[in-house]
Amino acid sequence: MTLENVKSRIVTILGLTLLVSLVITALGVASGDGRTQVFFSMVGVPMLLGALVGLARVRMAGSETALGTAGIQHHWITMSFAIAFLSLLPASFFTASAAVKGVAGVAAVILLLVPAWGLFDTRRATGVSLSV
Amino acid sequence: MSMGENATSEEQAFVDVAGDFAAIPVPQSQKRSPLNLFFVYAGVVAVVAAIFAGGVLGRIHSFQDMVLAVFLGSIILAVIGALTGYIGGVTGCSTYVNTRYAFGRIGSWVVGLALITLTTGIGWFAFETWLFGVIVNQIVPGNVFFSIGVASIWGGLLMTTTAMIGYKGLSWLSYLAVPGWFLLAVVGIWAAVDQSGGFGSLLTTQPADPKPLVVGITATVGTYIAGAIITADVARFAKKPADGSISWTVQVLTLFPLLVIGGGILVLLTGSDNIAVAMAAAGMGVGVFFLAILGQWTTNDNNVYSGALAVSNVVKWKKAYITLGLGIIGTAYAAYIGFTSYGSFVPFYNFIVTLGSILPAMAGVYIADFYVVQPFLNGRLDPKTRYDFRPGTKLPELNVAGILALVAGASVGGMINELALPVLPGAIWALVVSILSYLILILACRAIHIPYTTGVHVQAPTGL
Repeated sequence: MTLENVKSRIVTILGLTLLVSLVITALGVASGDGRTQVFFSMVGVPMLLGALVGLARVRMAGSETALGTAGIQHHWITMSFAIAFLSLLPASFFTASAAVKGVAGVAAVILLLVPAWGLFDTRRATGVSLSV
Repeated sequence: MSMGENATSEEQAFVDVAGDFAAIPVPQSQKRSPLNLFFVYAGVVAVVAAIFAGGVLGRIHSFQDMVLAVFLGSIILAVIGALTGYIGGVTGCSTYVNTRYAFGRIGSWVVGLALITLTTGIGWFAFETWLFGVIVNQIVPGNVFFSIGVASIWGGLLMTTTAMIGYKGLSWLSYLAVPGWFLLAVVGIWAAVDQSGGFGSLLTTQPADPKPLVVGITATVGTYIAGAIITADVARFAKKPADGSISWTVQVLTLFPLLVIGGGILVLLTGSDNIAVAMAAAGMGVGVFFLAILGQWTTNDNNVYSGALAVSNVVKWKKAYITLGLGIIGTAYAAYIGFTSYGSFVPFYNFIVTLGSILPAMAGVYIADFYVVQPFLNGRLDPKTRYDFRPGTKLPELNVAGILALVAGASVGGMINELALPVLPGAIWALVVSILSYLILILACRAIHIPYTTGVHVQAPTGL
């Protein structure tokens, strides 16, 4: 397994995170509910910025260890946000439509499962510890 | 346990009998990134109790004064934690091993067991476990599984598991829980305030019981002082000596104030600091569960972890078993209080808070020893040469000057706390008095040629 292959997979996951973060932010704006707009932005914007930082770190990584460290740290953080987002999404405090919540829920599940796979894939490919 | 194939020849001289490098320096191959240290530290402060602690400020200060008090208190905590964390970063050893120079080997046992295992490892662990039971019971009343006693049992055992794994366990949980937990906490505070009319009157609302600014600074420092003096327990895993200090400082100046001020705002605007009930009322059932479970878990595993580290400085047992033992004791006590309607945590809580006000005396002595005595009186200017724990190194069995300075600092700190004087926190008095006492005692003993240490202990490869 070459370094380029590992890098490519981590970039794909971070790119997906970036895309889904954009979708969440856009859903919030489109929801028409003030609380939902703020809440979705609180999740979408930091994750979007995090993904951009992650992509920059991966691009600059010169070794397997640096690559693995960047990948594993960003995957953990993405999963953490996804769990919190999923747990708050059904709250009646946010009065967005069921359709908006449903699409956001699917996005959150993607943000939970893909980095979870990426975590173990990066661990296997680079040998960097999950508690790096 | 061997030190691994990547260990240097110097590291190969050690034998890790306790596991998790509890009594020996952490080898370079096991060191972690600054972000890892940041999240583990943040895991300690990510707890509902921190929001409750902020609630105290909301009763005594306006918003502006509260921000100032928290800011000044956080700076004090940042300085203390950075100083102790750097020692851990340089030596790669826990707080209790590091204190062998300042208190002597046997002195470090007494200090570690009496001040850390008792307060943090058992006391705070039991209190946070009981609090977990209370919160869970408020969310789901009338269900046996979520009654205070039963929830304390499964909650306490859950919290013990990651601490048993060791530092790896703390790291995994912190990475997974901490970022999301802060999102939950911010949304929870927002929901609670929003339901009570919003943030509109924040700048004009006056507190119910106004007090001088110093009282707020005292409360802020008291909330996290126990964490600030044992930062070496985490910083020993730092790749560079200053990484632990930097990670500590960043989290204590950003995340800690966020929670404390958030708790203060809750009380100022709503009159209640019960974020769990407010979130449940806003229909955030699953979210509030995660807030309670993940928050108490990331904090309490650190509590029992540090308590077990202190015990590992004394005996050769596996640290995982020590952690399990302490976890069971703490869980049993929390469950007992939860099951007995006559029981109360108040006397015990007051006891561990009082101990918390004298704890900094311990940090004061070893800060003075590492930053003043070793470089300027013993000529060890290079930080890496100040403390040596390699096999064959000779250490004092007891450092009488350190013990006396500890007693002096703790007495003054305890007295200031007892009298509730509106001056700097008892914790700060304890720290300053212990530093000065230690330096005066050492200088006086050297001037009149009286030895201030007794006995000699030769370090074994096990670190004991």
